[in-house]
Amino acid sequence: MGQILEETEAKPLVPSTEEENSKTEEKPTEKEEPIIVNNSNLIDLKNACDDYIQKFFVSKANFRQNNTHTDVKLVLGYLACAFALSGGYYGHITPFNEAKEVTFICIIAYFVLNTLLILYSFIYEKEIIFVGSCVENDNKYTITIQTNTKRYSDIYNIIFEYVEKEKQDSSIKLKDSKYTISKSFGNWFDVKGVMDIEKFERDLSEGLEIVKTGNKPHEQ
Amino acid sequence: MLFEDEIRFLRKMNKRQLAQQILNFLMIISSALMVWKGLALYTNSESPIVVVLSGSMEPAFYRGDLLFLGMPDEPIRVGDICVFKIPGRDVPIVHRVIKLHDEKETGKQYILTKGDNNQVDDRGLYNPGQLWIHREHIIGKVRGFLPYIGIITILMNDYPQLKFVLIGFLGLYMLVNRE
Repeated sequence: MGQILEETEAKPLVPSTEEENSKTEEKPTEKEEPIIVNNSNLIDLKNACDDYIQKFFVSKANFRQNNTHTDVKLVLGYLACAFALSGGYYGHITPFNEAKEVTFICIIAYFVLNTLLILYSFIYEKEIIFVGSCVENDNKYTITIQTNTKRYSDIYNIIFEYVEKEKQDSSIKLKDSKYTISKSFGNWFDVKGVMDIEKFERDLSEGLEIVKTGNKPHEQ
Repeated sequence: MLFEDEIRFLRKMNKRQLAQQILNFLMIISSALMVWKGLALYTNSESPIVVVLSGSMEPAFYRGDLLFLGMPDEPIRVGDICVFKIPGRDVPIVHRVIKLHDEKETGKQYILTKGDNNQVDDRGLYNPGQLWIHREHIIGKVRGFLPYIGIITILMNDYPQLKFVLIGFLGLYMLVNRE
């Protein structure tokens, strides 16, 4: 026992173990909880990746997230629920025959709002999971990330769309580039469902770099 | 700790994700509510589906049968099986109309009902001194039925805890699962 204690105490003094020591010190500075999902559930895998992509672009790539899509959906949804629940409550406290008109209006409003919600996510949101922008020297950069998976397939597609708005002598120049990463979830998750965050981040920043500079990768 | 995973799942989400999750839950409740209300307007009956709680209409309906109601535009007729609610009482009754008088000027109907399986008419069930019920007491006329399905409702009525446990679990499940 005493021997082992001595060894661990002595470790920092031995130069050859410095590498190992720095690694263990790095971990708490990362402060990242391991992401563990059920890796036989495609939806869980996609959600974990989608969530991490948002986190990555906000905290690592310094984009400001634009939440318009989510906010529109939330407002429409809560408005629809407000109509439904208030209509239900009104019907509860007034006799059936007197409440008919109000109930009818509430039902119509609920279904109209719900249809709008579905149409909105179908037409405008599509598969977009992240919209973010950053401003540098009067130039505005917007990135849009779409992701999708096919049923019964382990391939996760990440579509980067990068729009550059450059101000040049009172004229605005637009540059638009696109890049897609299609990889199996197996690249980023091990058999236990633990996400290899570093690897995922590397792929994301590589994608961002390609779409930023417009260079196609030479390998592949 | 109980529901540790679930609580951690909720903790991890940001404001918008949490709002979305709660919305999913509310959406289910309000969809069900709106479908029910829509059905009520369509059939013109306050509660378009009811469950038989007693054996007073045997052998037509047994305990646990599901009844589908509708409110006809034309007057009620003798022989119709109607669900009605006596003022001041919560539980509606499903019985057959055995006697009926129409008032010529106003069109007001005086209705007397009786359960097929009962020995006497319903005057004993009405409020003291009440001899007839009227159209406004009637929730609907029976249009169709499904046997036995309603036994779940009866069980939940007999054991109210069951209802809360079921709703609680469904709610929690909704809240902590995405899509």
